[in-house]
Amino acid sequence: MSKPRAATVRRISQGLFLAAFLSLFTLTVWPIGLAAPVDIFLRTDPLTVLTALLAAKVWVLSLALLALPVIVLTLLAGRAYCGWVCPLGTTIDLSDRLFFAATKSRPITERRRWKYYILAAVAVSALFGAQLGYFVDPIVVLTRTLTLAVFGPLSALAQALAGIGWVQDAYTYLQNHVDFFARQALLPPQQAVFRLGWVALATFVGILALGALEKRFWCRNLCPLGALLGVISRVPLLRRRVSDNCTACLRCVRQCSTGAINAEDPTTHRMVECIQCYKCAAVCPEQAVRFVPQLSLAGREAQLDLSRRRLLAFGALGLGWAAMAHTVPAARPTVIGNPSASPQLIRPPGSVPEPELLDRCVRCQQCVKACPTNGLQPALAEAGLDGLWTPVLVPRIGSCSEKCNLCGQVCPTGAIEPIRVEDKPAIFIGQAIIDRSSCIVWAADQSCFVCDEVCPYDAIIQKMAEGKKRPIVNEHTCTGCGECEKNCPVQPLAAIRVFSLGDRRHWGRQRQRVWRYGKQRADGS
Amino acid sequence: MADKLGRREFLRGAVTVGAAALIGGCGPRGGRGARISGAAGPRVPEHVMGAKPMLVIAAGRKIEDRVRAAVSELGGMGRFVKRGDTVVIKPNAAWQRSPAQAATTHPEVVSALIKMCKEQGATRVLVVEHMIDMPPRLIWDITGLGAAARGAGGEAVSAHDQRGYVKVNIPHGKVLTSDEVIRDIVEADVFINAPIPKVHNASVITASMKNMMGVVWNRQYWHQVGLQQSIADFSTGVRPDLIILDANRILLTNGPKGPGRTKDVLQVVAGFDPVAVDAYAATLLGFQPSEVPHVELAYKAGVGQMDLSKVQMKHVKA
Repeated sequence: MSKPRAATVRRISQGLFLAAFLSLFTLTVWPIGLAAPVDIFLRTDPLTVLTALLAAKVWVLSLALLALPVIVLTLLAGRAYCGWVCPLGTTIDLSDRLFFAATKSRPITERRRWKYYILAAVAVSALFGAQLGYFVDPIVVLTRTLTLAVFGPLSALAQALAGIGWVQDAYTYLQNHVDFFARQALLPPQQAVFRLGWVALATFVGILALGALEKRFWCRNLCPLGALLGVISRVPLLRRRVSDNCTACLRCVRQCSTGAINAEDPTTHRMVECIQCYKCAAVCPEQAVRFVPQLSLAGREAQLDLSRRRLLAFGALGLGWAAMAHTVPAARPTVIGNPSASPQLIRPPGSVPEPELLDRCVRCQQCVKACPTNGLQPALAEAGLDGLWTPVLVPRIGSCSEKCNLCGQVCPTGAIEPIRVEDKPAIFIGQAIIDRSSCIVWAADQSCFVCDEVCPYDAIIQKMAEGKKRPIVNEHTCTGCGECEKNCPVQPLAAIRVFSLGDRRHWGRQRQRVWRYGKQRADGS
Repeated sequence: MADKLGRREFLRGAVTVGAAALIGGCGPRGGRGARISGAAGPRVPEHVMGAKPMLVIAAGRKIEDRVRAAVSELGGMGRFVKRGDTVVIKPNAAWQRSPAQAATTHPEVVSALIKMCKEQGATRVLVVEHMIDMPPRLIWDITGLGAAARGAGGEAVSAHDQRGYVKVNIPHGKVLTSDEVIRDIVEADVFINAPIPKVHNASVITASMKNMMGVVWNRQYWHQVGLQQSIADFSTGVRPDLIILDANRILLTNGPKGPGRTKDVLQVVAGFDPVAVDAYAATLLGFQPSEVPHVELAYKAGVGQMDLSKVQMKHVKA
C-alpha cells in the first residue's frame, strides 16, 4: 500500500511549497522581522541563477551554491521539482483540476521540444548579455503575477471594504493588536498601485488556459525551467520501473501528468518528461510500477531527441534579441556616462551600474512588492526594450524612503545590492530640478517650501532672489529620493522633479562619498 | 436548476446586505463634541466664550507629570471625557524622526493622554495622523508613537485612504470653504490636538493650528490657495476640544522636519484657545505672535486671543 501514499505525500509537498511561496511573498514587507529568506524560491531557481550568471559574465559562488539543492535533487530524482515543488506547477495542477477536469491526459506530442528550443533562445540571449528568461521563468512569472496582478487588486478590495465603518474599526483593531497585521503586509494603509498589472495577469491566465488543450500544457511544452532540469538529468537515479506483471491496460498512460509514458509500450517512458508524480504507480492494478534507483545510463542519448536545425534557429533568435536589446538608444551612455534611456530612469539605491543591472535583473518584481512607499514600479519604456519590467522609482507615486533599504535585501540576483541605511545620503540615484515656471514660489510669489520641508537630506536651499526667498537644489546633497516631487503641491506635474541626471552609480561608492562629504570626511568615515 | 436559482438568490441577498452596509457605514456617525462650526460664526465653546482664555503651563520632573498637572489645572480630564467616549488624539507624527529630534510629538505625551482618557472610562482612544513621510508603519516605529499608543491601550490609525475622510464645510473660510477631514475626528466624542512647537520654513512656526494640516486629505491645496490664510480658515471650522502643546523639547532650526537645533523647554501647555496656544508657542520659538501671519489671521477671524497680556497664564509644577 505504499504506492498510493507516495502520491498523497507528493500532494502534501506541493501544498506546503505553495503555501511557503505565498507566505514568503506576503512577508516581503518592511521590516523583514523574521529574517525570512523571502526570495528563496528565486534564489534556488537554477534558470534564474543560470541566466543571471551567464548574462552578467560573473561567477557568484553564493548564487550558484543556492541552486545546488535543486540540481542535486534533479540528478537524483529527475524533474521531481516540477511535480513536488514548483508553485506554478501546483497552481496549474489546481487549475487543471478545477476548470479543465474534462481534458484528457494524452501522450506527449512533438510540442514537448518547444521548451528546449525556448531554453536555447534564453541561454544564448543571456550569453550575449541580454535577459530573456524573465518572460518564461515560472518562478519569476508567478512572483510577478502575484505582485502586479494579485497584491494590487487585493489591496484595492481591502481598501474598498474599509469604507464600511465596522470593517475599518476591525482593521484598526487588527493593526494595533496583531503583530502580523501591524506589519501592514496584508492591509496596507494606502492602496497599492502597479503599472502593467494586466499584462502580468494576461500571461498568467494564458498559461492556465492552455490547460484546455492538455494537462500541464505549460510544463510539458513551454517551461524552460523544466527543460533545464531535463537537460541536467536525462537519466535520473530514481526512475520508473515496470515489472513483468504489466498487462498493458494503459491506465497509467491515461493518468500520466505529462504524457511521458509510451502508449505503444507502457513499460517504457521518456525520462526527461517524467515529473515523478507517481500517479502511474498509484493507478496500476497489478502494482507493476515502482520507482527505484537504477544506475544504468541506457537510453540517455535518445532522451532529448531535438532537431539541431531548430536549436540553431532558436539560438539565433536569442542572439537577435540580445543584439536588438543592445542597440536601443538606451544602450548608449550620455557624455556624463550615465544611461541615456530616459530622463525618468531612476533606479533604486544600491542598483549596480546600468548595463550590469539589465543583465542581472530577472524582473521578478520582488523589489516592487517590497517597496513600502509603492514608488518602485516596473519600467515601461524608461530603460528601453531591454529594460522592460526592471524597477524604476516613480516619485509621484512614492518616494525612496530615507530609512528603508528593503529592495536590496530582497533582490535575488544582486541587481540591487544590499546597502546600509546610513549610507543612503551618499548614494545618488537622481537629482531634483526645480521648474521655475510652475513652482508657486518662483512663478506666483507664494510661500510654500514643501520641498524644503520634506527633504530628508537638507538639499533645498532658500536663496534670496527678486526680494524673496526661493528654493534651489544643492546637487551635492540631493540624492534623488523624490520626497520633494512626491509632496510638491503643484498638480498634476510637480514643479520639482527628479531626473536621472544625478544618477551617479557609474562613479562607485567612494567617489560618491567624496562628492557628498568632500575628500577629507569621505576618507575619514 | 433549483441549485442555480438558490445561488442567484444568495448573491442578490449578499449584494443587498453589502450595499446596505456600505451606505450605512458611509455617513458620519456624529460624536458629542460639536467642534464643527455652523453658519452662525466660528464655533467657540461655552467654556471659552466670555472668559479670559486660559493657558496652563506645567513644569515637572517627568513628561507624564507635566501632562497630568496641566490637564488637572484646566479642570481634569473628566471635564472632557465621559465613560464610553471615543477620543481622538492628533499628535504630530508626520516624519521619520526620533523623539529626541523634536520633529514629532513625544510619545510619552501621547501615552499620558491615553491613560488619562482611559481612566475616565473612554472606550476607544485613537491616535490619528495623515503622514507626510511614508510608509506609516515605519513612522509609527521611529517616532515611538505606535508603541506608545498601543502600550497605553490606544490605537494608532494611519489615515491614508480618502474613504476615511468626510467633507466638512468651513463657512467662514476666506480661501478654504470646505475640506475633507478624517472621519474619526468628526465622529469622535472628544478631539485632542497634541502638537509640538517647531519653526517652520513656510509658515514661520508650527504649533496647534498648523498641526491640523495633518487631518485633511488634500493639504497640497492649502499651499495652492495660500498657506497662512488656509491655516487660519481651517481653525475657524474645526476646533479641538483640548490642546496639549508638547513643549518638552522644541525645534529651533530647520523645521518642521529637522534635524536641527533643539531646546529643552520642559513644559507642557494645556488650553482651549488655538490662537493663544500658538501665540505662546511663537514666543518659545523666539517670535512675536504678530510675526506669525496665520496666528494674526486667526485672531482677526475671531478664533481666539493672540495678545498674551489678555490671556490668563497659570504656571503649575507637578
